[in-house]
Amino acid sequence: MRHLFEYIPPLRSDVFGFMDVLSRTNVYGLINDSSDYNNGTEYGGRHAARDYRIKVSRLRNEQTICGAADLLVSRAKDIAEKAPEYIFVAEGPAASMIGTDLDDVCRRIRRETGVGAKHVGINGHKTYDFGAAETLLCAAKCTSGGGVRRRGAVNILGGSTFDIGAENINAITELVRSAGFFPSVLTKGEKLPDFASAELSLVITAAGIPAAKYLKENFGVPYIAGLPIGKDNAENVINALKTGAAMPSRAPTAGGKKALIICEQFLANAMRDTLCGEYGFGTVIAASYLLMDDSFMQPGDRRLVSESELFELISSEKFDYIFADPMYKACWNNRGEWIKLPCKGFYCPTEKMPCLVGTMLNEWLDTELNGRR
Amino acid sequence: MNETEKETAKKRFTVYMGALSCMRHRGREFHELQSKGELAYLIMDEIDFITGSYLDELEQTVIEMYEKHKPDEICIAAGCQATLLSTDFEMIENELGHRLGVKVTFDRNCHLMGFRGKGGGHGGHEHGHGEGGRDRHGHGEWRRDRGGDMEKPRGWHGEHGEENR
Repeated sequence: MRHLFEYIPPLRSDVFGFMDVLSRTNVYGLINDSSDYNNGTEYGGRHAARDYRIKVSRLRNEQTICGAADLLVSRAKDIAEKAPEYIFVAEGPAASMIGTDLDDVCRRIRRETGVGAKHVGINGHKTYDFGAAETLLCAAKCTSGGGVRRRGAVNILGGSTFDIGAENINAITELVRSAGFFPSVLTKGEKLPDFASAELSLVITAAGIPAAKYLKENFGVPYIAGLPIGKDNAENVINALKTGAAMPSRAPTAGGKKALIICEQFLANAMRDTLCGEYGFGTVIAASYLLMDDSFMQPGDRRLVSESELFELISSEKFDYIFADPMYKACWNNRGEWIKLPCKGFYCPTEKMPCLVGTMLNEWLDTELNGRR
Repeated sequence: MNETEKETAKKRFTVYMGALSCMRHRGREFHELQSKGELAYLIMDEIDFITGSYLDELEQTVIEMYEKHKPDEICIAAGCQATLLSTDFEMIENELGHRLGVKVTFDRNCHLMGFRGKGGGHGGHEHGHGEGGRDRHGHGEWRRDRGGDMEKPRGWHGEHGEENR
C-alpha cells in the first residue's frame, strides 16, 4: 500500500525545512497550526524551540468556523516587537484544510505591523527538503540586487541540518572562501544576503534549485550545481566557479562493483562520481524519498514514494554495497554490505552526518570500505 | 495477575494515521513501537483527505495489519484532519471490530479541537493503555472551556514533560 510505512520511520515534514532555513536568518516564521513544532529531544526538546525563530498560531476550533486571519495577525504583532527582518508565514496540514488566505494575511501583517511578510507555500504534507526549497525561494524573492553585481560573490544555496548537516555547509563555505570567492550564505541572526547581486550561485543540494533558477531568470545570476565532496568533485566545483564550466558527470561503466546510495540526490551524485571515478565502481544507483530533479538523475536512479518500492529496488539487483541510514535496513535482504550513511531527516534520533567535504569523503570511504573490497 | 496486568499483557497494534507533519508527535516512542512490530504509519496527503480515500486506505491497513500481526486489540491514532472531516469514529470502530472479532478503538488525538482522546493521544501504549478523558499520567479529567482550550487538570505537567510535541 502506497501510504503504509511499517518498517521505515517517517521523514520530517516541509515545516521542519521551513524552520531549518529560518534558523539561519534574521527572519521569523509564523506557522498556522494547532500544536507546537520542535526538532526533538536530541536537539534540546521542547525548550530549544524558543530558539527556532518560530511562532505557532495555536489554532483552535473557533478558527475552523471564523477563519484564522485575525489570530495570525495578532501573533504577527507579537513577533513584530522583536523587530525581525521579515515574517514568513506557512501552515500545517489541519490549517490548510480550513483554507485561510495567507497572501491576504501577509498584506494585513505588512499594513498593521510595518514588517514585510511573505507566504511560503507549504502545508505539512511534503518532506523537509521541499519546505527548505520553498523557503529559500521566498528568501531569494526578498532580494533586489540593486543593479550592482558584487564581484566574486557566490551564493551557496541548499543544504540543511537534516541532510548534509551544518558542519558540511560550513566546510563548503570555507572551501569557497579559500578559493578566493566571497560566499553569500544564510547566517543566524543576520540579514538575508543580497542573492540577486552575486556573480554566481553554487547549488549544493536539490533544495537549492528553485531559488537558483529564480535568480538566473530574474537577475541573470548563473548557477552551477554540485556538492564539493570527494577530491575530484571539490576540484571540479572550484574549477567550475573559476571558469564557469559545467560540472562533469560520470556515466556508469561496465564491470566494477555495484552500489545503491539512499540519501539526498546531490550527496548521492557526488558519492557516485567519487566511487566510479576514484574507486573503480561500475554501477551506482541513487535513490531517495526526497526531491530528485530529473536533470540530475542518471539511468536507473529511483525516486521512492512507498516502502514497498525500496524492498523491490533492493531485491531487484545484487548490490555489493548499500550506502544508507540504518533506518532503511529493515528493507534489506542481507545481500552485500551495508555502509552506514547517517541522515538526520527522521523524527526519531539518528547518528550525526560525517563531514565529507573535499578529501574527507575519500578518507571516510577508505575507512568504511577498508577490508570490504 | 490482576486485571491491570492482564490488560497490559494484551497484544496491541497501533495504526497512526495523519499527514507527514502529524508524525512529529512522539517520534522516538512511536519509532520504538514500530521497531517492535507494534505500530505502522499511514501517511496521507491532501488528496486522500479531500477525496475521502483515507477511509478506504485505513480500513485496508487495519485488516492487513490484523492478518499479519494477529493482535488482541487495534488502536487507530488519528490527527486533526479526521476530526475536521467529521469522521464517524464509532462506526469505524464497530464495523472493523465486528469484522475482525477484536476490539478496535479510535484514539482521537486532536489538538485543534482541544482534546486528546482515549489514551491521551499517544496510541494508548503508556501508563495503563489510556483512559478516556485522562492525561498521559492518569491525572485528572480534561475539561473543555468555552474557547475550546483545555483546562489543565490537577497535577498536570505535560508542558515541560512532553518531549517531541
